[in-house]
Amino acid sequence: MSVEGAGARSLAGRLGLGSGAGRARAVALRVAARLAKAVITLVGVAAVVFVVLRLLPGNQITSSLGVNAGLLTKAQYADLERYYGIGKPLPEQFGQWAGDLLRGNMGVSEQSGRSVTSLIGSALPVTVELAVAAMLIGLVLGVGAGTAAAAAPGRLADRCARLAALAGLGVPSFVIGSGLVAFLASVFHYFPSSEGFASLGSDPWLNIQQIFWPALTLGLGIGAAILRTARGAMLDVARQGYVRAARGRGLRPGLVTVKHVLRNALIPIVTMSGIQFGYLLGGTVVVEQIFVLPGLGRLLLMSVTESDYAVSQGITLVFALGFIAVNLITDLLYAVVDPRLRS
Amino acid sequence: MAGLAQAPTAAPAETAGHPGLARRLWRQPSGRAGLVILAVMVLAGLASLAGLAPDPPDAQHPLATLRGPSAAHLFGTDQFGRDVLSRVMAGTVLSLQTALLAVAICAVAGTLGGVAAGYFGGALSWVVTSVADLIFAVPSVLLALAIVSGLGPGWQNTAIAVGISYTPIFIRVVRGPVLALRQADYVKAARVLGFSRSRILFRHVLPGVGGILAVQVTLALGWAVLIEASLDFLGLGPPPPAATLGLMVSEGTNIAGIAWWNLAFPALAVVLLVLGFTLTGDGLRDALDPSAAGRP
Repeated sequence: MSVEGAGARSLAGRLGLGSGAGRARAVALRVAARLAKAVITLVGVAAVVFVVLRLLPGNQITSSLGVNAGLLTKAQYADLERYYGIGKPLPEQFGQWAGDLLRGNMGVSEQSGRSVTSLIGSALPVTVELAVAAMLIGLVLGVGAGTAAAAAPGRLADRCARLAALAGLGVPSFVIGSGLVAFLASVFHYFPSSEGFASLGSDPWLNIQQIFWPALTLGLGIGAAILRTARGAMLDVARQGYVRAARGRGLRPGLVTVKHVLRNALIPIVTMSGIQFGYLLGGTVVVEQIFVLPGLGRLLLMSVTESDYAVSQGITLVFALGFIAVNLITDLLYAVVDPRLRS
Repeated sequence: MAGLAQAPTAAPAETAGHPGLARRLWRQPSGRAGLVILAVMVLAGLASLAGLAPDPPDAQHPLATLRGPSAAHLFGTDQFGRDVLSRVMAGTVLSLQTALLAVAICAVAGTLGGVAAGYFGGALSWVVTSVADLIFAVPSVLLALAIVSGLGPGWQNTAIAVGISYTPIFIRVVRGPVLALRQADYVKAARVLGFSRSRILFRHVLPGVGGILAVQVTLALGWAVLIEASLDFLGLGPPPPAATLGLMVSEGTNIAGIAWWNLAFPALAVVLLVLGFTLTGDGLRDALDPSAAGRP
């Protein structure tokens, strides 16, 4: 299957679906195997999260009573253990927790009294919006500047892009975020989150202002990593014979850069974007805290400092699920961008 | 690395290569910049440890609060009249010692795991790589967050959390080359000669991954500084009045409008530390792999 031929096909065609029954079955099998692996990883992660949170010193009783927990009698302690469901052996606790989880019951928040599912349900859209916006900003900045840099290596644009990438990698997101907040507040007397969070449905304009700055904070770091990867991969591809041949045939340089070089440098870019998504999930904790966004990251930090186990457990699991899903999508995207992986 | 694996005279070639490495690193622009930055930061830290800072980091001067940078206080003072330069120097020490302990943990655990998984194979390899994959599936910042919240505040606990969350990367980075080295002729020869397993591992296999390890250790140090400062920023590190760079950035943000130096200098110190390690790591990688260096 030639690269030109692939360019015109639909997405389904690109994934290899619907191009011959035998091939379709092979592809479906591969996707199913990859899905099974993702599910196994998720179960493993659930077990790890469960065990880690229980291995750590302290439990619900000490977190709700503090040092007074030492004053409890044996019988009172046993009653509380039964109340929190932590007196039984670990495997039994895990089975109980996993069974509840499958029914959509993630427990109840010790601090707010609300169910963990509803807490996560109201925080998740904020974090998803932030993550998607940050990823878009990172991809546009990274691929755009990376392409410009690779088109003229060693020239001014390339030097500027590499310097910017270095800055983007070296400056932590909490420094960028704090700097942005301080700058907006002291120079423009502007802080979009001072009015309380507005959802995209209720007040779209305010919502965009509230999401833009944190997304930019995260997007700069992602963009820097993607820029470096894109530039390196495109310089590797640009040395190939067929690129020289395309230039020799007199094709426009811009066309060669996009259709011949960028098109074939996509695999490392996709890989790096997937890796950066993991960074993004961790980054939401910091950035949501700085910009006071009521998302999963802020909720996680609060539950962690308040030892609200059910909430931290649930959110960590949701983050891991998102991370695993993105890895899965990354693997499937390889087949879209590289026709050789389909045959 | 490939040349090393094929050459029967690996040992002399390696000793001859060592003095050259430092010079090659210095010749890389990024390596030189990184080394210079790190030297400045390490000297500042050592000066603080030796008591050469202008003021004790916790000394309060109620009559000189929020003073701007001047000859008396080069970086100004904070809301308690504490000297910002002295606090930044003390914070640099705390960041460096946390990063060193964290990387010591993940480098030792990850190298042992990676060598075991790569060299012995079988069930052991499966267990090690599965555990690494599972830890890898939880974003590392979140893992560090969960661990440090359970262990409680304190720089050692931060180091443990950061070290655990970075171990899978060392396992992955080491395992691949060890798999290849196991089949190298000089390792096979060592086995035929009847050398003990530990001698083969430590004298023949481990030096072969030394270059990769050096690059990874440098990059991990930069990453550890970043995560440590982020955790401190979130309030999960040593509590106030400890002089941590992350905590100083967090407090500095609130008063940046009237005293920018409280935000700018601690933030600059974090950036320099992270950049210093990242640049040195990049330079080291290029110095060890001449084919990748000097690309147009």
